[in-house]
Amino acid sequence: MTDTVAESPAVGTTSDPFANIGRRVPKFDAIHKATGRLKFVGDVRIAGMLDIKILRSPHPHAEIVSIDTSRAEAMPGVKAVITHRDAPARPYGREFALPPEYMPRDNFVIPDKARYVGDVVAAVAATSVDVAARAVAAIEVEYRKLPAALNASAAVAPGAATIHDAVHWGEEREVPRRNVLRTVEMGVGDVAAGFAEADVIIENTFTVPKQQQSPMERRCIVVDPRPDGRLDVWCTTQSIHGLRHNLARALGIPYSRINVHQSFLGGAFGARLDMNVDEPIAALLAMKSGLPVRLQLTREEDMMSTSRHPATVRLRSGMKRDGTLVAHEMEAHVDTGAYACSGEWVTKCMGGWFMSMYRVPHQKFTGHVIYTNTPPAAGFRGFGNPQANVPIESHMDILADRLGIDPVELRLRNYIRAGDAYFAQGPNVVDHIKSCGVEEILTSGARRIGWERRAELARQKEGRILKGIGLGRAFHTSGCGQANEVSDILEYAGSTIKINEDGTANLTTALVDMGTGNLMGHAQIVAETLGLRAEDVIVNVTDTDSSPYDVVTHASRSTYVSGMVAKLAAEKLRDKLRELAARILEVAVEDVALAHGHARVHGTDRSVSIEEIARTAQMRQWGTIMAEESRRAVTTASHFTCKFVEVSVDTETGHITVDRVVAGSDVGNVINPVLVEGQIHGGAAQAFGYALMEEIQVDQDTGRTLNPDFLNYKILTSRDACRDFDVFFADTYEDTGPFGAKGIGESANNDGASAIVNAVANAIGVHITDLPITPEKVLRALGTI
Amino acid sequence: MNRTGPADTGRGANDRLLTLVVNGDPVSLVVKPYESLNSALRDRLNLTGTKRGCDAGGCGTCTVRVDGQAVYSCMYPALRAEGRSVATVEGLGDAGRPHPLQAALVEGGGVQCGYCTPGVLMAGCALYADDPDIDADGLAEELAGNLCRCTGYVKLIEALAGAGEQMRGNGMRGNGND
Amino acid sequence: MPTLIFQPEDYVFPASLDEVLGILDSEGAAAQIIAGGTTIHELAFRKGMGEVRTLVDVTRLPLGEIAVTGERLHVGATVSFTQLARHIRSTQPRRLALLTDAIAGIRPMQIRNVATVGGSISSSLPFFDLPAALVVLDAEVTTRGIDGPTRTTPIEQFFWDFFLPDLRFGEVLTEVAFTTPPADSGGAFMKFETNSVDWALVSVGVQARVQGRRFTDVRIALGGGIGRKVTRATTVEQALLGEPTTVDRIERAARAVSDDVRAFSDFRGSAEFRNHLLKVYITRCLVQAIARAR
Repeated sequence: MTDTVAESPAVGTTSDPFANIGRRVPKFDAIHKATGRLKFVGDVRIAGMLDIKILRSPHPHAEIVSIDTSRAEAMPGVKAVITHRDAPARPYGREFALPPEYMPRDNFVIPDKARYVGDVVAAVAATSVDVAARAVAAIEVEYRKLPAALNASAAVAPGAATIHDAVHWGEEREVPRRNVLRTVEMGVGDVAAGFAEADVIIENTFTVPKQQQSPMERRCIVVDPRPDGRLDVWCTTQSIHGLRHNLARALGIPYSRINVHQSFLGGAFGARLDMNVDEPIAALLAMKSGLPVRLQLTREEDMMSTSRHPATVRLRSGMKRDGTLVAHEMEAHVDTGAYACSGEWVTKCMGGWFMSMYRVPHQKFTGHVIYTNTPPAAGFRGFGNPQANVPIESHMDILADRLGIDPVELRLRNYIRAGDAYFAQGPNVVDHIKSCGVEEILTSGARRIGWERRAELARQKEGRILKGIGLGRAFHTSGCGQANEVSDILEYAGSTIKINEDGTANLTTALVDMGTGNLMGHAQIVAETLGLRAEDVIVNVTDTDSSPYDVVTHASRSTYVSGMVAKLAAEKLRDKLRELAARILEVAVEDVALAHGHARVHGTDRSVSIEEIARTAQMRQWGTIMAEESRRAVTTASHFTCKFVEVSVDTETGHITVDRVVAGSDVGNVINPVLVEGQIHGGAAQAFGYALMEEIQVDQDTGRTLNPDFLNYKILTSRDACRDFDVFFADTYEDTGPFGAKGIGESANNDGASAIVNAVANAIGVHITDLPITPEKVLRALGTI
Repeated sequence: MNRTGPADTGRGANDRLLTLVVNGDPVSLVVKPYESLNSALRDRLNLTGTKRGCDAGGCGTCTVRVDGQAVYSCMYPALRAEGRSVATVEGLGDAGRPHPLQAALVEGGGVQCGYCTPGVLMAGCALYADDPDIDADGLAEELAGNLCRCTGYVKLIEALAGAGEQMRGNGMRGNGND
Repeated sequence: MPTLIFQPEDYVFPASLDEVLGILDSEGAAAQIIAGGTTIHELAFRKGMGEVRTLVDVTRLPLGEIAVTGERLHVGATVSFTQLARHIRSTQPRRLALLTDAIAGIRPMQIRNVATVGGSISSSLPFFDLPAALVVLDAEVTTRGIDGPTRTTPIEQFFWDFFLPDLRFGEVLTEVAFTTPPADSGGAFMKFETNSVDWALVSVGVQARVQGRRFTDVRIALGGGIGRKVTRATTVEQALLGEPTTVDRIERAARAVSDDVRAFSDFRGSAEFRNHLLKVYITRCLVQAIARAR
């Protein structure tokens, strides 16, 4: 399809509705959302549906000595009650993208021991939320309180209570020592030798907070048990097939007994990346009661079920006087909370992200994944990347200033570039960079922000408001594809496309749209391949019964991996259409090409419309014109971003305002600029929240989460966000991506916090290493308090 | 308050009859004494366009207009709406004839996941009804109670402000569905 | 499948204040007044409604008027923040900038549209901004009980503790009144919060009268996480009387604020940080107030 690409006009400037790539076309789901007509999972209504409430532990660590549910069960309206006695004895795992043979399994549908304040003790299905809540309150539980480890240091201290006696990795049983789930080690070269070569060595310990994903939609599950014994499931999940698999395993029933319906999500950002504990509970209650059930988490419950992994990260960097990085050593203590969730995988990725930022001959990463008696963490946009990026990018600025080299220049000397190997997803996914626009985005970004002011700003120390500019640079993989066939990460997608009798197309993919517009991107890719307009491609709402497998919406893979598979399916369909057109026009198939809704004969003005082909195929009974493709990705593509931010620091209050953002991104060829810009805006706002105010706090005496709601957990509002926001793209083309495209979702987020940290340092002269940088920390850094 | 009462699935002694106008049409329904307007709309009238993101006045996704004023329906007692006019996103416009704010959000990339969108639209309408000249900064100031986790508020505010220019051109205020 | 966070047996709209007082008298702690409903919702949500069985909605009573008698403003208990701000903007925007500042800072608008002046005072929480501003204005709170006569209390004495206003058994707050500050005075209200919709770490309201470039009258009220009730910065006020209105003198006087409050530490910030912010915001408010006084 290179001919189509060559004809693609400049980004977003065309009015030709058939020029789909790079076109600023509104996504098809937007009008459904703007009219309130789109049904989110929480809007699903089934007659006779019960509501579920969960009894949660008030203790951070306690054994269940006894539970008496008799009063609850006797209450009118209560239809089913479950406790650990009803749960399957086999532990289950949560992750969607790991094969079952590898996944850590330490969850029981309902455990017999509570491991954090909020852990599940029992659940009730009743005729209303109110009845269910009263029934939950009527359950009598006797707990035996155990000592609790409420942070990672306490958890690994000698004598700390054992949070998990065992965890299963696939079928292998392991006993975590000192609450360490796993220790991840990666490395290259010899760091001791590397540091011996260095002229400058710096070392700092950073702490990065427990940030909550905070999608506006709360987790919701609806399970409808059918008369044939199957379960219909609607769920706020990033993967319908992944949920089907994990749910079936958790319940011990065949996959095929479950049909999960695809739904648009009200945001997710990783919060719906894995199966949580709530889905099996809802399913078990549906099975026990024989009635449709709904479990809608409260905001508090939702906020206490997922977060970014908080971490303490020690980084040691060695550099030569000429600005060459020679040694990098990172040790991270990663708090996964009460359950494994994706803690090990996030830490492996963190090591990979760390080792793939700069060309460093001697590198070592050690990551300790630690259980604590706190709410479990989960994947969150970036998947370990921001936790590593903040230390690395802080050090680049510190080293630059120490050596008197411009920070942009220092990055340009050291960054990993085209041809270099990089870790795309932990130690086992290695690929080479094929397209790389780092130099372009760094130099253009520096010009746009007025980077030359940085040195002068660093000298200004007087005045109530100090201004600073700072740079953060990041990358992320697009997908988890690997060349080798035996893999520890699942990475395949599928699409089926059919042509309707009016010449439009229907696309079926199990890929979930969490709000990013990834399905709109698919419509554009398919339309472009078929010579249709994007609005001629109808994206079906599907389910696991009727769609090919897709692993999960994550890892910035939607466009690069699933979009590529959709393109391949569309190419098959294109060839069928060409063949039929050749039959109709009585020419050789090689002479036919599709464009502008028509099949045209090269070198003539003869053509037949796609609608006419479809109608002819129906009349002549040639069969439905359709094609399918399902395949594994065998490559990844690194997308690169940088953010230059300008901040104002009020030295009297410590308050930080973000005044201007310049965001450069190498996402390959841009399929839809509106959608990509939206990713960059939103990713930045989340990163700025991470840098400035967001932190789930757990009371270190009681284990209670202090701020699990929007009245107390603070994210940026419209009044706090920076809207002076310049987005630009590198002129790159990724040969392995659909129409040259790469991902963007995660790196949109990865660089933002680092940029803020560096801008604040430029303003106040202190590199703050403890995030979020609250006003109080600024004043302490300034010595004001 | 854990006093055990009868199951409240059907009509109970405490039920109240509520009569109000929703999106221009008179509606009568039965609600519990302290049921929220949000529950009345979503759970009784099946008007699920209005969202419920936190139930505690913290997110803004439940914003509707009562007699033109933007309120959080999750904390607005349904009975207080007796005789009043309630406007929700369902009455704002449709795909064929979208309200300028709807069209602007769709065209301008102001909709990502769409969960904040209905509340933002109702709040935006109230702001334009109050001050047809409100600009982007004014909108950003007053929409602080409508959280959005997707857009960073960049295209969201830009689109709403752009619609304002168009509405001023048409001599239209925000009250598309009063 | 309605979603209910709290289920009272009854929700009533009394037709008169006497009827309200009758219900409170007969039901005692089982009856709870609801006005804007934002605090009640929060309490219900946190399962803090105790033994309440009846909610008594007062928003249909004739308590929603703003009356002006000379320089005195009488604000009915159920006047919403939005209504009060609108009234001031159309009448005395400059002389009551303290109040419009405070109300503008009460975000979001969805709360301003329903929250009432009486409700915010009756809640007796130092985190609420309007009560702190009314303390600056030395407002008087009028309450009525079933048998007792109308009672008027200076607002500063109306707050005893969290959720503990000076409301006797069966009493209802009906009105708050204050005198518009003189034209040669200026006011300001500022607060510091984590994001733009938060409980304030600290809030500061001031009204200052300036004659001959010296302070002749200063009132400063402090709110937020500074103690268990809105508190006057009397030490600072006294230190400023007669002093020139220079930033230097203001800053020096503001240092004494720690003597007036017992700020606390929580996850939003430490007491030390709050004490520091109080000094900064007292200064900033006074500087703005002086500018407005001219």
